[in-house]
Amino acid sequence: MIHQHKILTALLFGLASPAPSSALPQEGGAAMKPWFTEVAKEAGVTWSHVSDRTDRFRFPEIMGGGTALFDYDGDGDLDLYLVQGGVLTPPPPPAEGEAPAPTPPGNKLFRNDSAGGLILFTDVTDEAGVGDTTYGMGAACADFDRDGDIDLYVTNVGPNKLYVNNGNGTFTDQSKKLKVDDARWATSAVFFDADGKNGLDLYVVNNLGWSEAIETPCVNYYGEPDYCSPNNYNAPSVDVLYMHGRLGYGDATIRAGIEAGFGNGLGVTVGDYDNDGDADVYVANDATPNVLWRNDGAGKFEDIGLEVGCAVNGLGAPEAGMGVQFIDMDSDGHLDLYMTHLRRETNTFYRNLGNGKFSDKTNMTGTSRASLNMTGFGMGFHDFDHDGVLDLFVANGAVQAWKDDERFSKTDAYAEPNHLYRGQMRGKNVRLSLVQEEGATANPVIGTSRGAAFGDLDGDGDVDAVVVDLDANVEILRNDAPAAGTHWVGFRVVEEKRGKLADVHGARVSIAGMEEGTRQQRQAEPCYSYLSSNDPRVHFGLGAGEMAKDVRVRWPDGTEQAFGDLAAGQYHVLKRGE
Amino acid sequence: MLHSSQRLRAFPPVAPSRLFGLALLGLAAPQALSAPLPSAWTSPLETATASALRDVGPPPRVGDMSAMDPALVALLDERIAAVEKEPTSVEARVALGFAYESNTIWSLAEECYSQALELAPDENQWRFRRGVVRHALGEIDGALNDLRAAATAYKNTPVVQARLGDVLRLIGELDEAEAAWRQAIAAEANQPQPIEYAASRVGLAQTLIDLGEPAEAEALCRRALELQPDYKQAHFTLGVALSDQGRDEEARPELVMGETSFQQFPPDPHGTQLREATRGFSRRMMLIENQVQAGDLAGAKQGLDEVLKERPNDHMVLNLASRVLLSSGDMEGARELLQKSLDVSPNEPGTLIDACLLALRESEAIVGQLGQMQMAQQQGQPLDEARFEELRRQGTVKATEAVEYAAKAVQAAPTVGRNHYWLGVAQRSLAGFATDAQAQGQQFQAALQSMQNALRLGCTEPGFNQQLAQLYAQMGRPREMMLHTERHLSEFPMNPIALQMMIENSIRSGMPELATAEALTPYVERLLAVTPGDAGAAQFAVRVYLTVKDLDRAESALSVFEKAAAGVPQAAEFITAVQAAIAAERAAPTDPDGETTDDQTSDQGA
Repeated sequence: MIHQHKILTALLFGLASPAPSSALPQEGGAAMKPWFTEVAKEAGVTWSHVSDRTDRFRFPEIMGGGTALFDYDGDGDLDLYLVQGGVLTPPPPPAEGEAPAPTPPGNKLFRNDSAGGLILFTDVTDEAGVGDTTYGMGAACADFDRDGDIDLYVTNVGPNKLYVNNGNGTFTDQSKKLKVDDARWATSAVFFDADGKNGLDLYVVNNLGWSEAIETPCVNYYGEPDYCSPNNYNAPSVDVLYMHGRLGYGDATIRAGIEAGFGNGLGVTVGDYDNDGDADVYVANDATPNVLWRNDGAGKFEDIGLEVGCAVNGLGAPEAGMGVQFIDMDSDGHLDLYMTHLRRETNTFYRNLGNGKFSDKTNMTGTSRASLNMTGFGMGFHDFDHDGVLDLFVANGAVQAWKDDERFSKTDAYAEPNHLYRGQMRGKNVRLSLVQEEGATANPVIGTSRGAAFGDLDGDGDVDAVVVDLDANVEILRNDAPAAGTHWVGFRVVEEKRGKLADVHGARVSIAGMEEGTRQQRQAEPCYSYLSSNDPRVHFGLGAGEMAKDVRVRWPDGTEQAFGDLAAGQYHVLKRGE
Repeated sequence: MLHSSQRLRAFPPVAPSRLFGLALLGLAAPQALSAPLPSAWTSPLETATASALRDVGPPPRVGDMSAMDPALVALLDERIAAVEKEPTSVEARVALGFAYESNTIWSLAEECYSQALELAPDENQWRFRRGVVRHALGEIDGALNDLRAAATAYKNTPVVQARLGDVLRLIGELDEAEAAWRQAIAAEANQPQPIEYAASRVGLAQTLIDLGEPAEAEALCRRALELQPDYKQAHFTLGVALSDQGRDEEARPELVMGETSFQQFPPDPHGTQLREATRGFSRRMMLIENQVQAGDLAGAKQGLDEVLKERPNDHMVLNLASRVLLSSGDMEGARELLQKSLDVSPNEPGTLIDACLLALRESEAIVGQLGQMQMAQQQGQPLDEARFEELRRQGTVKATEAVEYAAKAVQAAPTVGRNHYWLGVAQRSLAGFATDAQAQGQQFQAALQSMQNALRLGCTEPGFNQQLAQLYAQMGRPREMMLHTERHLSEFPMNPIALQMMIENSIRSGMPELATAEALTPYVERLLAVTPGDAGAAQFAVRVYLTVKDLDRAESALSVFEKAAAGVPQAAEFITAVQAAIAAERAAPTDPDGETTDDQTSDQGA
C-alpha cells in the first residue's frame, strides 16, 4: 500500500522536477545548452520499475533494476529490454476457493522503430516471449551460441533466465535445459570467452545470500529505520562461471578457481587488463574488496585484486562498488577502471600503470567533489559531445533516505540528480568537470536511478542513454549535445563464426588521436555500467576532424589488424581477416 | 597468490553494527590516545562571549523526529531548549552542534556551527568543526575554506592540520596536502609534551605515494607501526609504498594485513563532548562492538548491561552480551543470556549460530579434559575409565547440541554460507567423539559436505580454510589439505599458527616437493621473524630441519633456540639431544644416491 501511494503521488506531482530550461548553468557560471532531452513518453515507453518497497526495508528492494540495449531482430538498430522488479517474495499458493494473487509485472522488450529523427519503440514482449516475472535485477546480451542472433540472460532474486534467440523475433527459455538457472540473488552478468574455445562463457555475479529470514532492522544516519549495509547480513556469496562446451554450459566455478573469492557482488566488466591476450574479469563488490580475476588463458582464474592495487581504495578501505567500466582514460593502451560508489565515498579511478598494477588516482580525475555527495550506480564513459574527449554520465540514487530540506525530490526521499561530467584533456589525461548537476538534461528527472545503458538509439551517430529509476518511469535520454561542425565515427567489430557474423566482445579499436603521436582506444564490450548491457559498437567523437585516421583493431587474442583511414559520420564494419 | 575477498575473514566475527556505514567514516574508529587540549583551546568556551545581542536564528531542527531513536530525540529536545532559553549563548549553540554532529546529522550541525560563528566570529575552533562536517557532507569547497582558516589559526593542533591535509589530498592538491600533513607532524613535536601519532605519519605517507615518493612513505609507515602496531591502514599504506618500489614479496603481507582498513586522525580536542553526545541504540551498540573488537570486554559488558536494562528482549543485544561473556570465560552467564535470546527468537539464524558456538566451546573444554587424562595415562598414571567415558558422553551431548542448532540455522537461512560452515565445524567436532571408525567417517563426510556448501555459497569466517585443511587431513586427502592450508596462510601470512600449519602439513602431505628444506625455509624464516625470542618457535624450527635432514640449518636453528631458551631448565637436555642426533646423522654412511642409510625422522630423543 505504501508503494502504491508513492506512485500515485509521483504521478500527481510530476516528481517535483524543475521546469524545462533552455540553458543550464555549469561550473564557472556560463550557461550552456542541455546535452540530453528526456523523451520516454514520446518514444512510446511508459514503463515503470516496481521495487516492491515496504516498511520492512528488504535489501533487494533498493538495488534493482537494469536494462539492455541490443539488436534482437537483426535489423541494425538497438532494441530495448527493461528488467522489472515486481514481487520480491511471491505469496503462497491460494487456499481452496481463494482467488490467485495477481500476476506480478514482468520484464519488457521494446522493438526500436525510430525513424525521421524520432526515437520510437513498440512493445513486443508477448510475441517475443521474454516477459519474465521473477524479481529481476539485470541483463547480459550476446550471441553465445554463435548462430547469428543475440541471446539474452536475465539475473534475478531467484532462478536466472537464459532466453535463446530463435532468429524469428521470438525467444525460448532454455535456462533449465542449459543448467544456468542458479537461484541465488544474482545481479550483473557477462558473456565472454574465458578459454578461447567453443561459444561464449558466462560469468554471473551473486550478491549476498539473501532470504527474508536474514533480514535485520537497521537505521540510517538519523536513527530512523532504513536499509541495511550489506555487511549487516554477513553473508557474501561466491559467483558462478559457466563454461560453454560442445554440449552446452557446465558449472566451472570450482575448476576455474572462482570459488576462492566471494563478496556482495554488484557490477562486473571484462577486459584484458594486462594485454596478454585473454579476457580478465573485474567484479565490483558492495562493501567488500573487489575482485580482479586474472585469466591464465585457459579458463583458470586467480584473484589478484589486492596485490595489484584495485581491490580496495588507496586508503585500504573497501567501498560500495556498483557501476564499473574498463576504459583507457589516458590513452596509453592499457585499460583503466572506474567505479561508482556510495554517498560519502568518492567514485574511484584505478589507473592501469602498464606493469600489471593499478593505482588509485581518483584525486586526479576531478570527480571527487561531486561524487562524494551522491550514490552512483549506472555509468558510462562516452564522447557525448563529439569534441574528441571522453565524458562521463553517472546515474545517481540513494540507498538511505535523504532528510527534510536536503532532499532533491518532494516525493522520493532516495532520489538524486544524475551527473554529467565533461572531459577535457590535461596533458595526456582526461580531467572531468561536472557540467551540470541534473545530468545536463533539458527536462531532468530526479529519480532513484539504478541501471543505465548507453547506445545510439536514433541512429544519428551520438550516444544516447536509458536510465532505470526505482518506482518511476524509465528515462530515455536523447543526446542533443554535439555542436555543429563536430564529427563522429562508429564501428561494429565482427568476425565470422560458422558462417555468421558475430560481435567480437573485447576487441579494441584505436584511431589516431587529435594530437600528433597520440591514439585513442575503445573496447567493444557491452558489459559495463550497473546491471546493464550496452551498445556493443565502438564510438569516437572526432571534433572537427572528418576522418578516422589509422584505424586499427587489437583482437582479443592480442593480434592486430589495420583498416586505414575511414570516413566520419557513419558506422563501419571491421571484420576480422578482411 | 592472494585471495583478496577472503581477507574479509580477518574481520573479527562480531555482529556488525546496525548503523549503516558509520565505521567507514572513521567516526567509530578507536582513538589512539586521548589528546591534551591544544593551548588555544584549553578553555574552549572562555571566549564565548555574547558578542552582541544578535539574532542568529532559531536552533536548527530535524523536521520529523517521529521515527528517530527516543534517546536521541530527548537529547536534541534538551539542547534545543537550551538554545531557545539563551539564544546568544555560543555554548548552547555548539552543544547542539555536537549533538547533531556526533549523531551524523551533519547538515544541522553545520547550521549550528555557523550560528556559533555569527556570535563569535573569531572562534576558529567552530570554523574547524564546521569544516569537518562540511567534508562529511561532501561540501568540499566550504570545508576547505573553513579548514584552511582553522589551520592558519591553529598551526600547532595536529588534528586541524591533518583534516586539512586529508581534504586537500582528496581533490588532488597534493603539494598543499603534503605541507598540511608535515605541519601536523611538526605540531605534535611542538606540544607541551611532544607526542607522535601514527595517523599523521600515515596521512603524509599516502600523500607522498601520490607524489611518487614511496621510499619516504615507507619510512613513515614503519614509524607509524612502531607507534601503533595494530594500525591496519599503516600496514596497507606500507604495502602500497613497497609495491610502488617493486618490492612485491615484501608488500604482499602488508597489503593483506591492511586490507579493509579505515582512516584515523590525531585525537580531536572536542572528542569528549562528541562522545558524550552520542545517543541512540544503534550508535551505542556500535561503540560497544568497537570495544569488543579492541578487547575491552569489561567496558563492553558495562555498556551491554545498560542497554539490556532498556531492551531486555532484544535478541541482538542478548547475543552480543552472551558472546562477551563467553570471551570472558563466563560460560554459564553466556548460556543464560543465549537461552533468553532463543526464547525470544527461536528461529533467528544468528541466535542459533551463537548457540552452536557456545555448545562447541563447551565441547572443546571437554575435549581438553579428555586430552589431559590421556596425556596423564601416557605418562604412566592410571586412567579413570568411568570418568573418561562420562566425559566422552557429555562431549557427545554438547557436540550433538551444536549440530542441532547449526542445522536449524541452515534450515532457516540456507543461502548463508557461514551457517553451513558452523554446521560443518559442529559435525567435525561430533566426529571426534565417535567410538568407531565407521561412525567417525560418516560424520567427517557430513562435515565435508557442509563445508563444501559453505565454500560454494561464500563464507567470511576467519578459520574457514584452517578448518577445511584439518578436515581434509583427517580424511586423508592431502591435495585438498594443502590447497586450503595455502589459502589459510595467504589470509594470515604473518600468523605463527598458520605458518606452523603450513610447514607441518607440507611435511605430512606426502608430496616430496613440498617437504624439502628449500620449500620450507621461507616459512620457517618467516615464523622465526614474527616470533623473535620465542623458544617454542625456535624448537619447532629445529625439529623441522631435522625432519628434512638439513643439518646445517638445524644447527643454525638450534643456536637461535639456545639464545631464546636461556635459563629454561629443559633446554640443555634438548640441545644435547639434538647435537647428538646431528652428529649421528653426519656419521651415518650414505649410499651412492646420497641418501643416508637411515631415512627415518632423526629427531627421536630430541
